[in-house]
Amino acid sequence: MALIRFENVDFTYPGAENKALDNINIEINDGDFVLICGPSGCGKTTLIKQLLPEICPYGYREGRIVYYGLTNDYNGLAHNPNVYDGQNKGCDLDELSPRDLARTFGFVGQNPQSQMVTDKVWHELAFGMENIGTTQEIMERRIAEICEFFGMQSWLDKDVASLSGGEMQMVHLASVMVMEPRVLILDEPTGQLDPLAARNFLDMLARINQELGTTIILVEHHLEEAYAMADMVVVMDEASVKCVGSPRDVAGELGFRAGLPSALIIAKSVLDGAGEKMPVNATYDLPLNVAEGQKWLRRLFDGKISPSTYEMVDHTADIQNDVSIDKIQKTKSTLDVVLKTQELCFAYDEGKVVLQDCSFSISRGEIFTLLGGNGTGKSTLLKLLSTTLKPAYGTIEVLGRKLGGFKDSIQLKPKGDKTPLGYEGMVLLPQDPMALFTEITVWDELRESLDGLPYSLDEKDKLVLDMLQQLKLTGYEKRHPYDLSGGQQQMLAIGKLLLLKPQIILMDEPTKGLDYDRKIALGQMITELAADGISFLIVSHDIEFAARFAHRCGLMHDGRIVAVDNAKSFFAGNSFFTTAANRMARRFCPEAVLPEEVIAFCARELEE
Amino acid sequence: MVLRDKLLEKRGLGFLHPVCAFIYLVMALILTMFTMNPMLIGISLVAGISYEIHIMGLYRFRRYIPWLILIFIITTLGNMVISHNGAHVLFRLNDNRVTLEAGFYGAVFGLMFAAAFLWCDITQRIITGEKITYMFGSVAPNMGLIISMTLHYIPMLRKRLEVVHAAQVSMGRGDYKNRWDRAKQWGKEFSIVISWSLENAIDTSAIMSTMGYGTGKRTNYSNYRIKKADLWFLFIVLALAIPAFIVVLSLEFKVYYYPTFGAMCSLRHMAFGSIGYLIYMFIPFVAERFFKWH
Repeated sequence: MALIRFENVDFTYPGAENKALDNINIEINDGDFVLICGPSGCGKTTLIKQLLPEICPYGYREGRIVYYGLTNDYNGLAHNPNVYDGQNKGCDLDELSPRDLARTFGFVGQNPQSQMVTDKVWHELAFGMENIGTTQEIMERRIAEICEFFGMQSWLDKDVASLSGGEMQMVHLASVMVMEPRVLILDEPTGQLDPLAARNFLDMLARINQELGTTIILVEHHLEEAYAMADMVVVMDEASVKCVGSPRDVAGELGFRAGLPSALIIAKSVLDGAGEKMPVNATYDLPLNVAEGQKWLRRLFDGKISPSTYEMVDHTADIQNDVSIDKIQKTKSTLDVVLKTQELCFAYDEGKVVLQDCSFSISRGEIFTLLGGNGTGKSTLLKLLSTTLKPAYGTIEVLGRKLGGFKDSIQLKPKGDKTPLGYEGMVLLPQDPMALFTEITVWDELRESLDGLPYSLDEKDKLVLDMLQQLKLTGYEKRHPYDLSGGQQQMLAIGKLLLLKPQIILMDEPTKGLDYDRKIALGQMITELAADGISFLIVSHDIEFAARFAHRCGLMHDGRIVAVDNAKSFFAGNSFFTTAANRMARRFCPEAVLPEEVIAFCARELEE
Repeated sequence: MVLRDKLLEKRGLGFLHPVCAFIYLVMALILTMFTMNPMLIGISLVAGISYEIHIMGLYRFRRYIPWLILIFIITTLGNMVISHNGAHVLFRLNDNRVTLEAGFYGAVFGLMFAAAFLWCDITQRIITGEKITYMFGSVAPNMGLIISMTLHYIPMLRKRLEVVHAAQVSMGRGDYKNRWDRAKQWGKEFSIVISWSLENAIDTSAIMSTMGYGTGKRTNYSNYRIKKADLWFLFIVLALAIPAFIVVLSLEFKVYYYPTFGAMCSLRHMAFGSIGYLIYMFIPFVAERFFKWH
């Protein structure tokens, strides 16, 4: 039974030549989990905003959006006048009153912080109901119910500001669900969350869909988990709908690979490459998750290599080999260590030690990624390195100089050197690039970085021009930094730092909120810069990114670094904390970490 | 210590319905501020100090002591310089009389000021932001929402300022020796935080409208219910307030300072009259005995 139907919907932004939505015809069924995916800028967000007239950007719309949900007096909505002869003809979305719209469509956006309105969690939960004039008795009951459902009783009295991003997003979801919406619309809700919080959030969505029957429309670019959850996938490209269907049906037709589950990417690529050599039983049922991927590989290698015998082959030799190479590199590079910490310890207050005995070193031109969950001390370590906190015990050595005490430490240059602090030293890229922006245009923003540096005006202009080119931001000079896309903002922030000619860049979750293509672009840029001799310390949750671009990886746990290894052996040596591709293929080929490597392995085995 | 404060919100006066506690505290403040009777002010000050020590401990209260003494000294000296009334001239300053009465008046005024300060502090500790939000919200829901949003924004801004500062420090911009440079840098960081927050505020307002804000009359969710204890408390407080207000307002107990100090009644009479005031001021201790968590 259809709940919402888009009939020939077109949408054009004012002044734009191309349509942002071009002849959209889709039908969304009651109780479905709908996933809308497609490359950046394909009109996903514009499409779902059509269902939210209150926040829909201004523009010209043609066609009709019909809503069929009014008949069953659910939510106490007015009885649908559009039922003739027992047949539901639906009503135009524009006919709904703002209050009915608010009750029918719940919305969750990307940025957790900006979705919090009030100061306490209980008030946040009550906020929506207060707006639509719910009585105290009903509010109490609904809040109690939603707390049971979400298991957030202990949060009620908390200050909203003290919550983590994932918790904020969960609170917002609860405060939307408490209004009992018929349709839940989500625009990249996990974009700013770490993988674990994202996973929890998606699981909660699945529960809401299955246990409450709420229709869910999810726009997402990170599809590793979300893809398999959907009942219906809508693939968009260039403002129109390319295909619609169940995840497995659509999988065969998908034109793009970015962000899809690794298992699916691997299976599709192997299928495309192998042609006739493909065993027949591996051609049907494309895998959508790791478990299915493992089964699929077993079918693929049926009779050729069995995982058990293959496991008998000793792979430790390969890994040891890698390690020895790493050791050679290490001995070569120990002369050129740029950042070194020794036995760092830190505690915010007595009784809760955040960092204990944390030692590592980074050499010139190296990309070192520090992985680990929340609360393992990663951000505290960054604060110590960026000198906003002072270690309780232990030393930090940057470019051969010991960081002294609190704040004075950023002066990494000898006395008498008049260049500004931070120049040719160590810089930090904060999680949110907005924290760096001070000016009103991109050009000024980059120029601001050069303030007080020993260059002539012409040299400065030239440096900025070159940087714009390097960042691929030419043509955006006059834009306000806030009007750039998330990826461009990230690039601009990096540009600002690069103009300071840093030798070490600390990065705090640089891939947060970036889609697949942007991540790759960022990774390539980092790789190029590293080749030029800049060292990177990247603190991140993003395993796939680390596997692809890092030279070495460390795992942070309980305030110390428990495993440091070169990227490949790091992931090959882990069992849980590794890429999806590696988890899928580790029975057959533990050293394959990236999808490409698994694909290459499969192709090789099929050849033989 | 933090736990102690948390409990305070829900213990003693904090246990009661915010409106009841608020009425009591505001009346205590009025009773303090509308009298210049040294005996009453002394009672109010002793009650205020002992309750503060009770709830925050002597160790943390010690930080207040210099400030209270400072208030006392400033008002005493200030009044001696400004006011030249009074019969007992101590000495002359620039041809102006400096009198004992003016000093005494200033001293009593200083004590009153200190007592009022303490009662404000107690009010602030018991009537938390959440309770203020509730009280305003029940009268004007939009006002309550604004207060709640403000209370949410302050810690948010502080957090962002930290993030911005860390980023600026790492760019080498945080730490200037020159005071002017430092002020300029601070201004820059502040402006980043403000424009960042305004940008976020646009998102917030969009979210608010998807949640039905502005679609008609709002209601107000309250965490507080009126209990029997609240009504009893209110009844007792109002009953005890009557003798206390009588002693504060009636001319019979008036104390005058100029031309020289004196009272309209005998000391014994005044002490007897002050008993009601004394009981009123020590109500928080009684509430603490009744409404506590075991």
